[in-house]
Amino acid sequence: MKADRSRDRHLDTRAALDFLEYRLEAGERRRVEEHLGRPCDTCRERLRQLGELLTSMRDDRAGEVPHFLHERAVGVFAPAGTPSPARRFVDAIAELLFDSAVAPLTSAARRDVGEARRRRYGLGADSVEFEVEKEPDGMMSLSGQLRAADARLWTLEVEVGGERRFVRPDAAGGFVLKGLPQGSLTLRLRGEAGSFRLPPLEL
Amino acid sequence: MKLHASGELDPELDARLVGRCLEGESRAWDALVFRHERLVYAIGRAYRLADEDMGDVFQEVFTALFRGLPNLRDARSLVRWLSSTAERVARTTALRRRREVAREVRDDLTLTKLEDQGEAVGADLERLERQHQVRIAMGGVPDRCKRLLEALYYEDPVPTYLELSQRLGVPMGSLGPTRARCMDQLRSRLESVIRERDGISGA
Repeated sequence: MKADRSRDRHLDTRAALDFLEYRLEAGERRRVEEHLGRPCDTCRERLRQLGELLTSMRDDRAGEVPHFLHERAVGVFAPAGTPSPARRFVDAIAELLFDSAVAPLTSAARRDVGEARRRRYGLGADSVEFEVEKEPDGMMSLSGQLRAADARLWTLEVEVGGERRFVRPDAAGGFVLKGLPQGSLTLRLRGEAGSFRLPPLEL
Repeated sequence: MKLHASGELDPELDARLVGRCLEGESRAWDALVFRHERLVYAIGRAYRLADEDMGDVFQEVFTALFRGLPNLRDARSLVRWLSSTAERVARTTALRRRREVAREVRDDLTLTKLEDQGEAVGADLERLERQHQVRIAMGGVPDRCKRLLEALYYEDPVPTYLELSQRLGVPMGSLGPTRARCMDQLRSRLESVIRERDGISGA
């Protein structure tokens, strides 16, 4: 009776993924196969859709678009009209709102970020908060969060040690840039509210 | 409609970006390019174009898109328009390049053979569009999920759970459940993207 009840159990996403990726142990795999063989059209369809999605992702081997191609495409833009006044900012200077070197973090915040120096800058109505840390190999990393409604439509441009790097925040505004050389770093942010430049930072 | 900070996909994002491009806003064009350049790149890659030719394809496709923006009646058809245009331009570019090579070696047999190779790529458009939709949906899931799913399904070779655990700072035992939750989020976002393409408003 117990075995019958277990065969009636539908596949959740985890079980379906484990089945498709051959991660199930023999007994559990047999139970799934018996369930599918009852037959269960719901689970068969679930597996089919998940399998298609996994195949689509695994076959996607195009890689990231080289920056020079992005620039080539962006370069064709030639505005016919005048941008609205709200969007005319050209490299406004971001306003320093907080610097942990000047105003020490609370003990709770320090537990989260450690001893890294944390800074927050105002970008009009939005803001960016970040920290710079030294990596074990001597390179530097810059990580933080952009607090803006359309964070993933912003671009962060970093210039340091003769290199220029670009990163787009994720949907929640998070960003990480690793492997930066040491030196004077210039950070520029372009997004909904305009274009902002931060004062040079020494890494 | 605004993009929510939670990362929820805006079903009218393309339409909104197109509208802002027509108002002369270069940042909207930048965002529109970023959102769709991967599709153009994947199609160019399918034709095995060299960097120089890929640059020409980007220039031609995005110039055509920019010029066509005022006549783009429905932004939901953008992906289909881009894929068919990019396919046509990439095919023409690849064929021209191959003819040049064949002429240089004066080998008619080579020319015929190379033209035949180009014919099969067009059949993959539907697959490339699907992969593009998955990538767009991936942009809407939290960064933690994105990194896990990218590692599991886009990297080759696929990292082991031990490697992933160390890389992401997640206990091995929670990788399976986390992967399933992330996949559910991705599928939910993907459904929004597909509804957007099919003209069914998710709002």
